[in-house]
Amino acid sequence: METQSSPQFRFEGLTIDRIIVHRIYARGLDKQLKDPKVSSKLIKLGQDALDALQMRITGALGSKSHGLEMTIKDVGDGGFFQAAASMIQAQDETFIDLTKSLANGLSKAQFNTTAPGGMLAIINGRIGNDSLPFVAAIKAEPQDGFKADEQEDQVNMEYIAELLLTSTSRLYKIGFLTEIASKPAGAEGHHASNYRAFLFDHLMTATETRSAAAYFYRGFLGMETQASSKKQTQDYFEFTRSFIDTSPIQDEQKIDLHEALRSELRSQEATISVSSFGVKHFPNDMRKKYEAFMQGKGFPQNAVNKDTNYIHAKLRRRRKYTFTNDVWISTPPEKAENYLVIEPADAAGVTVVKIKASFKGQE
Amino acid sequence: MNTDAFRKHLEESQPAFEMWGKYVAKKINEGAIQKLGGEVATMCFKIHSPPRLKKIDSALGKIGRKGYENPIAQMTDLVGVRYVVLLSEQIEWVCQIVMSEPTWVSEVSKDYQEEIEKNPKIFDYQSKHFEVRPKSNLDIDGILVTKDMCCEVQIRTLLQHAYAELVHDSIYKPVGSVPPKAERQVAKSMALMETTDDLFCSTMKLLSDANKPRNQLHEDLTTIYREKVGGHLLRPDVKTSYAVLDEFRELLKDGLSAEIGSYIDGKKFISNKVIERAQTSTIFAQPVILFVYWTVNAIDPDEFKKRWPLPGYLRDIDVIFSDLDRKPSYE
Repeated sequence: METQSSPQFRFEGLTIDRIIVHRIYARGLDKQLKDPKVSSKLIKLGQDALDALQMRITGALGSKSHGLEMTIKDVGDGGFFQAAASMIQAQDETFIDLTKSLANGLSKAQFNTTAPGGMLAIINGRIGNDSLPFVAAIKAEPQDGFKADEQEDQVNMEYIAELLLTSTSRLYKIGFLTEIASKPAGAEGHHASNYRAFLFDHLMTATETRSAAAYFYRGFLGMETQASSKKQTQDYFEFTRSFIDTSPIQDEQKIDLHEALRSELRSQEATISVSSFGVKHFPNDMRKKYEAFMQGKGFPQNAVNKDTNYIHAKLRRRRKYTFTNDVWISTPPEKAENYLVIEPADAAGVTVVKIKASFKGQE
Repeated sequence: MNTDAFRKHLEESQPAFEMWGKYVAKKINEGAIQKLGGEVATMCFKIHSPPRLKKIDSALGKIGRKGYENPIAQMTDLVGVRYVVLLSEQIEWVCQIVMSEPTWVSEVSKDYQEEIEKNPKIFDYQSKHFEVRPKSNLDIDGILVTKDMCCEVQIRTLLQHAYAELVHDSIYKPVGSVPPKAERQVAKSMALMETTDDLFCSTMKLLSDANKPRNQLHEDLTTIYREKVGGHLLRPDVKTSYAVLDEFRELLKDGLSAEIGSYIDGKKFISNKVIERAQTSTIFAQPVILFVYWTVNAIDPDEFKKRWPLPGYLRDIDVIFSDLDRKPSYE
C-alpha cells in the first residue's frame, strides 16, 4: 500500500517548556547492562541556552537539514511512542517518570552495540504556528574541548573533558514526535496516525552506516524509514528533471545536469535533499528557483530516505560506443539499440554506423 | 531705596530667584521630553547651562546706570536660563514649550525675527527672549516666589550663540574704542551666520525628505511593537534600527508596515519569542526586530546573512533563522 505524502512540516516557532537529562552508559568490559543514572528534577536553562538547544533541534531536523520524517512502527506498551505520547499532556511528576523509562529503554537498545554512552535529554515543548506539542529525545555523546578564560592581561584555556551538544552534529541524535491531532488514548493506547515522527542521525545519511544507526531509530525509537520513500524518490527525480528541462539554459548544460541527477541517485548516499543537490549543481540564482519550485510541489525541505526502486531503469548511464581511432558516440540510456545500428568493420577497418535521426549540431 | 537697602533686598531674594530659575529650567526640560521624546530632546539642546543668577555687584551697577526704582520687578535678568539649539527652526519648538506652560506668564521681550522684518538691512544680535513670571505667588520647596519675579529665557542657535559670545564680550562691553571696520566685520559675520542657518535648514529638509519612508516605517514599527509585544520592553536605539532599514531600503514600499503587522499576527509565536528575549538581548528590544523577522522570511537566507549590517548580532540572527526554520545554503 502506498502512503500518501503528508503536507510539508515546518520546524518554525519551536519553544522549549520542559527539559530533563539522564546519563546513559556504554556497555562495559564485563558485558553487563549498566543502569542509567536518572535525574528526578527538570532542569532550568537561561534564555541563551534555550536558544542554543532550539537551534540544535531546528538545525538537525528543519529545512535544508539531513533530518528525515519517519514512520512510527512500535506502538506497543513500554515503547518510545506510547511513553512520549503520554508525556505530552502529563504533569511534571509523570513526565519525569516516563523519561526515566526512556533512559532505560535507550540503555537496553544500545546494550548489544558498541555505541558510546552519553546524555539523554528529553525535551517537551510546542512547535509551529498551531503550537503543536512535541517531545524530543536527544542522545548527546560527549566530546572534549576548551574554554577561553580571559583575565586582564592574559587569555588562558581551560580544558573541558566532557562537552555536550556543540554544533558538531556527528555527536548527537534526535528523535522527535509531535502530536498533529489531539485525541485521547484509546484501549490500545495512543494512535500513531495522530502523530508525526522525525529523526536526525548522521549515520542515516550513508548506506554503509545505516546498520550502526539501527539501535537508536529502530531499537530505541521504534521507527522505520517511510514507506513513501520510493514515491518520494521518484517525485524528486521527476520534479528535478522537469525543472532542468524548463530552465533557460543551454542543451549541453541540461545534459550535464540530468547526468548529475542520475549519479546523485545512484550514489552511496542514503538520503536525498533538495538543498544539497541545489548547492552542488546549480548556480546561486537557479538554486533559489529550484528550491522554490520544489517547495511549490510540496516536496519536503529537509531530507528524504532514498529508495530508487521505481526509477531504477531511468538511472542507467548514457551508453558510450568507442572506436579504435578514439571516436566515440554517446546515446541516451533508454532503448539504446533503437538509436543506432553499428555494422561490422570492413577489411579496410571502416565501420558504417547508421543513426536513426538527422544531424542537429556540433559542440 | 538706597544702595544698601537694594543690596540687602537682593541678598534676601537670591534664594527665591535661584529657585525660580531652577523651576523654569525643569519645566522647559520636562516639556521638551514630553513634546519631542527623551532622545530628540537631549540631541536638540546643544549647550546645557544651569540657570544663572546675576551677581549682586553687577546688578547694583546696572541699577545705578539705569536708575531703576523697583529693581526686583524692573530688572528682568536677575536670573536667566539659556537654551542653545542647532537650527533656527528648533527655536520655535522651545518657544512653544515656554508659551504653553500653565504655571507662568510669558512675554516675548526680544524677537529677532520681528526686528529683521522692521530693519531688513541690519545684521545684528539675534536671539529670542522671554520674560517669565509666576502666574500667582508660588511656594516651591518652602521658598516663596512672588509673581513679580522674572526669569529671562534666552533661546538661540549655536551660530547665533557664537556671534553673541564674541559681540557680548568685545563690542557691547567695550574694552576700548570699537573701530567701524570691526563693526562692519561682525555685521558681515552675522549675515554669513544667517545664510549658513538657511543652508543647514534646507539640508536637513533634504535629508528628512530622502529618509521619510524609512523614518515613517520606524515610527510604524514602534507602534506595532507597543501593540503586539509591549512598550515596556522597548529600549530603542535609533541608530541600530536605521542601520538595518538602510541596508534593506529597497524593500521599503507603501503599505509595508501593514504587511509586517499582519505577518506578525499570522505567526503567533514571533511576539512571544521577542518578549522572551527582549530583556537579555538589545536587538529584540528594538522596533526594527519585527522588520527583521519579516525580511528573514521574505528574502533568500544567504543574501540576508551576507547583507546583515550588524556583526555584533549574528547569533541573534541565527536564533531568528531557527525560529522561522530558515537556513542559508552555503555555510
